[in-house]
Amino acid sequence: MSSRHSAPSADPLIFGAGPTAPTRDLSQDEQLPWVALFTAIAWIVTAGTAIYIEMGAMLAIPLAGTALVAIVGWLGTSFRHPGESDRMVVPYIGGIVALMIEHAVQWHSRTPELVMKLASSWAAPGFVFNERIFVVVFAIASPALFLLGGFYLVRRRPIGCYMAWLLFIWSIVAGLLQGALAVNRPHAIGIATGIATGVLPLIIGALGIRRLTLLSGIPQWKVMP
Amino acid sequence: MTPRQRGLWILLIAAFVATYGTTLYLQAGIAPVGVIVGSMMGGMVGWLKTTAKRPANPRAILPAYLLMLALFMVHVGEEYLGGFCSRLSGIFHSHWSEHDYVFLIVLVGPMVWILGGIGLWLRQPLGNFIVWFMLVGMILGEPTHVLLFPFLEGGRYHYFPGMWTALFPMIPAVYAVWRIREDHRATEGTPATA
Repeated sequence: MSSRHSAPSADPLIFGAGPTAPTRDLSQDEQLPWVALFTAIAWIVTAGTAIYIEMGAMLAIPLAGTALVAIVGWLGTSFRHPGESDRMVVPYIGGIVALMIEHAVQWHSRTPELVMKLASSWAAPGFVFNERIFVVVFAIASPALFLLGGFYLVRRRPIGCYMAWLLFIWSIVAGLLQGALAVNRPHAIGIATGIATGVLPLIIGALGIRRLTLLSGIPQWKVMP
Repeated sequence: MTPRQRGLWILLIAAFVATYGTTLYLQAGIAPVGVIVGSMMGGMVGWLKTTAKRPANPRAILPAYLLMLALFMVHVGEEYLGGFCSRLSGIFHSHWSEHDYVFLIVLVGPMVWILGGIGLWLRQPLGNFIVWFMLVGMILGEPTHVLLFPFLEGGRYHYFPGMWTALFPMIPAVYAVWRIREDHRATEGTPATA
């Protein structure tokens, strides 16, 4: 057997590894969060860039911004301390349904037209945010993505924790955007239903983030004597 | 579950089937009703024979169910982009508009089916029925995109909207049915704890 195989600690490819430097392979449990992190970052950068080029900042900023904030939240809490993900399942699935109710109301009240009226200068050249794009991106692709995240969450995979952060942060962003759009509607019924359907994801998002934070053991509350 | 509780749940489910089926019939005609109500009835039989007696193990079934729903939403996307409802209306001479399709199949239906996941997780009877209905629907209903609709349109065998993604939700569905039946066989005869 060659010395290359018999003395791995002296591998010149490991920076600073002398003959006595200890080496340790990461276990699968330790590797998985990092694989999940780099997968999430790769997706955010790729999808964010594609959305910005094809659709414009109007959609790229809220979507990619939410995904990045979710990364920060995840790294600060459940990335290293996954906690008990079982307790996230009901709010997670409830959050998907709350967003779908909001999307149904937005679809019924022709929200894409209102968005184009208010923010057309933020759209990519030639891009028109219409009902078809709204249905495909928000009513179909978004639940599909979050359902896939639910699959990983129930199976206690690290990417599932990230998807929980993403869902709850997006619920808050979507709820606030829905409120902002609702106050620009011409009729009282449109304003009321818009705000009402924005409140539900807002509440579930806030409760979900609180639970994610508490379950991961952060913050560590100090009990004063 | 006592016989009286089971009877009440059956009544509630029958009301749910009648409401959804009638709405769908008025919008889409007899073909989608046949597939969906047929799946609901098949689901009720599966539920009564297995998880009505003892709820499904949520840790084993929920991941498969959520994956199945995710793949189903992708399938719905292909149907929507391909003009599924107008093509189906052409076959069965109904008047299923895209507006009605989006309302019932893209928005309201999935809300109920996804909520079924919470019912499954909480070992709730209605959730267990919804899961069975969806499993039967995916296994019996989805192959129609490949085996039935292209032939009904006539002419040379050709693409029908939803065809490329129709069979993928069946994979987790078949696994879930197999797992429910295995779990049921393993625990048959022992008293239910839930």
